[in-house]
Amino acid sequence: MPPHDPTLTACLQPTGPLRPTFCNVPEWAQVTLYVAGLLAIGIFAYGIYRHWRVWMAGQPGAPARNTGRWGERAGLVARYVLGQSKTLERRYAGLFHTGILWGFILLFIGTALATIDWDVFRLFFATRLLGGPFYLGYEAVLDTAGLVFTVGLLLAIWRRYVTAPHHVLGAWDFVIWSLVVVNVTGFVVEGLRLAIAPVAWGGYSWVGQGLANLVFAFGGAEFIQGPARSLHLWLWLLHAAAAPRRRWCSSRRSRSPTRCTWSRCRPTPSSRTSSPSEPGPRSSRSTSRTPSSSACRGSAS
Amino acid sequence: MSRLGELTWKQRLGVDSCVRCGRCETVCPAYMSGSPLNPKQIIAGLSDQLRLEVDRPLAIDGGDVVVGDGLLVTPDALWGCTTCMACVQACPAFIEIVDDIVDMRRYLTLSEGAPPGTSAATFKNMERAGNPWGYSPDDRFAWGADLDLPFAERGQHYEVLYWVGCSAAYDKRNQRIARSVVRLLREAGVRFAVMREESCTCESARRLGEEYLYQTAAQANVENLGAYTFDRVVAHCPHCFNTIRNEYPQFGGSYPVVHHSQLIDELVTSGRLHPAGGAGPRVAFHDSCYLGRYNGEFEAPRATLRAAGVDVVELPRSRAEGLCCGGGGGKMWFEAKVDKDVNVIRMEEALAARPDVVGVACPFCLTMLDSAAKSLGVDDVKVMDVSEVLVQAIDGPVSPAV
Repeated sequence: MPPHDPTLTACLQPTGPLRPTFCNVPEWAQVTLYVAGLLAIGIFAYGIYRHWRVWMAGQPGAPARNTGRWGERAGLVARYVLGQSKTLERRYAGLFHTGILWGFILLFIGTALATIDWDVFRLFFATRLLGGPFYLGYEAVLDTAGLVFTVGLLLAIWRRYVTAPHHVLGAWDFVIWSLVVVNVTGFVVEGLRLAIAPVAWGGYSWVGQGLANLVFAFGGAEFIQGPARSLHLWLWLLHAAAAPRRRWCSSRRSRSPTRCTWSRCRPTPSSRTSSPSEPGPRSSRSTSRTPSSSACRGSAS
Repeated sequence: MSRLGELTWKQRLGVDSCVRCGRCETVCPAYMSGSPLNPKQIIAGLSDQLRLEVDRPLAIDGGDVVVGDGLLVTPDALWGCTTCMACVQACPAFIEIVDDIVDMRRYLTLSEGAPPGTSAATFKNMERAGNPWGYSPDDRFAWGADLDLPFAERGQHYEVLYWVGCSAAYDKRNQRIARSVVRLLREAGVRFAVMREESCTCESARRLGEEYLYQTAAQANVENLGAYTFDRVVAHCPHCFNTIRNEYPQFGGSYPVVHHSQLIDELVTSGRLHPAGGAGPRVAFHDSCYLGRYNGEFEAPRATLRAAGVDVVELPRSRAEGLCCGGGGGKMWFEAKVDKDVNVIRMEEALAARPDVVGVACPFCLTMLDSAAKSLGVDDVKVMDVSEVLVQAIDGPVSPAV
């Protein structure tokens, strides 16, 4: 490794385990990350604000069961949000849902810790949070969380697009794919980093180290110090850029609700032959459902 | 409710939380039967509409009218709902779908004056005669003419006030439920009375959006109940039970209310009822939505059956996941053409368990499943209330009213 390359000094951990921040990432890309990050926070806050406005435009007053009893309601949050006991009532869906949720929660905490490590501990206290045994545990937990997350996403994709029962059809959603991209690029970036700048404790990043071993097996030193570094940087950028987004409504060009996500999947008026006033035979009903579901899938573009 | 501006912030928060997972759709009996109702479509459609309208000054126009023929939510879809709560039970976002549907029904019935099918006549009967069929109020206790029924008197104290409800008061088949309950109360030596002024709770009317009729009836019933002294109200009808227990407190009538299966279970446990035991029939138990999902009582009717020495068979969809009989939400009172009626779907499911008897704990369930049995041409499997099964274990078959 050429020691004079400043972008690679960030990969070095000469004093023992220490999170290599911005390894192989030049300054322009770092600046891009911070600018894009602030922009993303702004968009996120605006999205929350829009939902807030949706709720608050309502009439005042809430049922008594939704007020007071803070302890009991906190328990319900623990049970249904953290414990996912409602989604787990359906085993397959509940399992991948819980995997995705907890993978996401742990990776969010991990990313937040990385920011605190680099932009708070390093800048303000001239020390580091993610070093030593704590950092090694951090790596092991996050690799596991990422794998659980990815497997959960693949199970979800299988159900949504392959087994595809009628009731899960709805909007074509970019979110699930962008989460796959984030996870997969995250692992590949980690693997390439461990190939470019190997460390003795790489095994704690066990998924990433596995990928690094593949790079060692199939690529020579020339590949590792050349194309692998470019690939690492571009995937790092993609990893950041693929952060999920969701459309507010499938189209805002038209005010008509039929342009929106779910309503698009309604049977067209001509196929709605089975209203109760003029009951259609059973076959017409089943045909009225099939085209609507294929229309949903067709709306993917 | 016909415009989104009329929703409370809590309802809007609920609708906005829909993730379109479709669990409501998979458990909805109306959707299963092929009615135009799809709870997912309603909530997801409203959710899209909310987001379209959010940038408009709702305070002025309240938003577009979304309920009506050809609009986002059609009347046919709304009238498909049996208010069975299966969708709310299944919803991982805890959206109160049934409340929203009933809210929109109120708009159709009260503002548009367009209740479904023949239900307008039913409302008139409830209003004039105090029962949905329009029979004479004087005949309300004809089912017990030979039983020397104790009518409540002012100044007397009763352990239990037995609320019979219209179905067992007038329906020839269901009168046997009331006779069984009286038989069991007497057997256990319970000091009980029935109330001469009893009149329909108009629960079906409320579920069909006729809030005015319901409130008038509730006030009258609460006033009448207030004249007597009793420890508890017992009702064998889960719809009456739910109304008196959970809705009458808003009208100033708070009483301890029990379902007859709960009282029977208690009487057996405390040793006041001694069923002979021995081998009873094989009974497939069908949960009532208003007793089970609404009030969380799944055990008492099963315990009642076990007390009769019955081998209780669980159906594939039972307890909190139980499938509706199709008779709730006012659906008893009008017909809508569907592919396959809910009661037939449920009865077939029950018959697949090869029972001698299909046990129920609700007179509406009894009527619905009985009629499904008839339309399926089944006559070797009886549909019986849990109290009838127990009386039969004590006495043999319950005699019909004279």
